[in-house]
Amino acid sequence: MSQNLLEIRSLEKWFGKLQVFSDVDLDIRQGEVVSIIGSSGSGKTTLLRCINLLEPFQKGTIRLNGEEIGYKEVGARRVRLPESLIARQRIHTGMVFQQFNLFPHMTVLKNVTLGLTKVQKLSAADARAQAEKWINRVGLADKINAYPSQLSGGQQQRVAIARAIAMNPLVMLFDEATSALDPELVGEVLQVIKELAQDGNTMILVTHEMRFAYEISDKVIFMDKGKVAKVGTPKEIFEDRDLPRLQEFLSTFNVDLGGRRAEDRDH
Amino acid sequence: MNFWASIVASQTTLLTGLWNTISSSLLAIAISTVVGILFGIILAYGNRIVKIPFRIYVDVIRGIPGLVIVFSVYYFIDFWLRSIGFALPPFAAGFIALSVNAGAHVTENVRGALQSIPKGQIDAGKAIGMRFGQILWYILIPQAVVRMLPPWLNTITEIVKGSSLLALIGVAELLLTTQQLIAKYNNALFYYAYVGVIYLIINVAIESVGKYAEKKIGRGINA
Repeated sequence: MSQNLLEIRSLEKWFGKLQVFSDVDLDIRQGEVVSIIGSSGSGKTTLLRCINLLEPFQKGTIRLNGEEIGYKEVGARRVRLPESLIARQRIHTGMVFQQFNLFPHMTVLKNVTLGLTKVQKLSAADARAQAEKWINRVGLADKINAYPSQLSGGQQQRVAIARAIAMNPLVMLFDEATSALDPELVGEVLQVIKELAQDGNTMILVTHEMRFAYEISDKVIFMDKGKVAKVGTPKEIFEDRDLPRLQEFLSTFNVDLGGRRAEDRDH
Repeated sequence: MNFWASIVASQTTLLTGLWNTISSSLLAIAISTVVGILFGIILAYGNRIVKIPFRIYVDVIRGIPGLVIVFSVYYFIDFWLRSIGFALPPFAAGFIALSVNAGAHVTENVRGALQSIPKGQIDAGKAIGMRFGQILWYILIPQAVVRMLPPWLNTITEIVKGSSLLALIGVAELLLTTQQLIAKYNNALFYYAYVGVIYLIINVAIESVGKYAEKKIGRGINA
């Protein structure tokens, strides 16, 4: 057993003839907050989707809590596990999507309890208690019976966060959680994510919120052209002097690292 | 017999016709809906090879006039049954033909509704650990039902109107009984108008129930 919660080795992903990324290695320890940055098309989101087994990958391994997920070796052949097993492995990862992806035909409460009752098989009362706890935590107690269409984007994303974290996953994955939001709604969502980080949750964030990544992360990964170009502390990444591509990328954001105001936007 | 007496006398005959129209339509609606949901799910999510026969069924049936389907089913099944010593009642051939025809349309209604649901819904279901069956049942179908309701209602009214084709294989439904009454009492103009109004009433009733249902089940989606 290693001490790493998540271990990615030599991961390689193709969409048909297009290579999305290759040689991705990544170690994440319990309680670590890791941000993945990089220009669009660099493979960040796809990497996150591979970790959640939403995308197949062609090479490499992902181990979560010591267990290899998604694939197994049968003789010399590598086969993807059946969907029923993959569904079970996904319970350990929670995911928050750019487009929220709330279930529009269900109330806020039902969105959060669905997985608790149908996947974790909690009783209706336990599921409700668990869901209410998290809906309160994201500050939406008064919206518990609202439908997603009655909520603002920021509120919807907070519900989506509650839905994911209520399942008590080992790792939370945030896929550009604030990119689809109006600027004035970004702050409330980042605040919730920050609180989850401070609670000691293990998290991976794909983000364009550079200053947020700088403040909240233990480790930042810069992806460029389908490779992990640099891994380091926020300081090492944002004050990089060796990698022109990284400097070029960061310069497009005009990051103000001295800022302390939560509502600051960096693009 | 004077005009008014003939109308009174024809009501029982028309009622039999109405019953045949309604019962053959209801059977066709039930069968085509079950078939359409199953086939629609297969066409939306099945693998490429599995889809082929269902795709062929839908495209072939939708490309053929309803009357040709009615005759084909009637003569084909009749021919086949006779060879094993049975006779096929026209009514049975009729509702089977209507079902075969409408099944292709409902399949497309269902497939279209399912495929119009954003892919993110499936991802979100997977992300909370649901299996595909659960995603289908709890997430996709409830949303698809809301989306397919308007085209499905359309298909239903087409079934009711299409049931008049069964007159041509000798099912005594509304149109055929009307024609029988015309042969007996004349007054073609009146009887065709009269039966037209009956069809209209049935379809307006279906539409209004449908509109009500759309409102009821559309919560959160038709906001």
